[in-house]
Amino acid sequence: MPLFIIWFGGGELSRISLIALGAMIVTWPGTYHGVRDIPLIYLYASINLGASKWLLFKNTILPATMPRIFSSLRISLGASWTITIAAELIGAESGLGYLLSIGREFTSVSIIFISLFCIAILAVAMDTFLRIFFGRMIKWMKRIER
Amino acid sequence: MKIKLRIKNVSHTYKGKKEVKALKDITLDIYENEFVTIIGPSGCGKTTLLQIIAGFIIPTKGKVYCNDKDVTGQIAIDRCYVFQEDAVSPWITVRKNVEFPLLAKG
Repeated sequence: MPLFIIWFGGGELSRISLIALGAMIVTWPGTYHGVRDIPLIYLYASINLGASKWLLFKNTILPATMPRIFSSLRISLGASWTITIAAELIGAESGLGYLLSIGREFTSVSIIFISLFCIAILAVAMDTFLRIFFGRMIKWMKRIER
Repeated sequence: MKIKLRIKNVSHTYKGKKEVKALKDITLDIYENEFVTIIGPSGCGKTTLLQIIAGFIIPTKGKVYCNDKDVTGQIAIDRCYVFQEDAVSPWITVRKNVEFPLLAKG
């Protein structure tokens, strides 16, 4: 965080950059392995049928990788929340992390609990939204599992 | 008659902990409109040969020519391949699977 404050200033940009970096670090390996683990038969079949590079990416590589990308994104959501709160605890003037630090400063258990409760509700809501959204996007997984 | 497909001195060895020599010096000319059947016991290299023709595998030795053009290791629609197991994409509908080659062709 201190490095990001030096590089991007004390505003929102430094926090957003830190969250983006954290999310990328978590999402990247899942996506990479998702692409690597695509069964070759799908790639061969698509190329053999004359698919261009774009069509191969759009119709084969991207949908085949989606389940892995989605799982990584769900994990990165948790990581992003952790980083957000940590970043706000250090250098913010507003936000739930800042509220936590205020609660600590004034030794107010109620403020700490309210901020924790808000964080938990927001995190669960976002995760539920992602789960429903991703569930719709990868309906085909359920089809082949049956 | 014109030679459509020429397989010239193709050999292939699967590398790994244990090397497996699948094909040794195969030479074959297939003419236009000719119907060729490759028969052999399990593990004799039929699939390897077909996959080399389709361009999925680059042979350790030898070349594949289609219409006198070197197509070794190149996957293209001029050498269509029917897989032993199904190769339909499970993430799209049956209709879209059928439409895919038409979409690919433009």
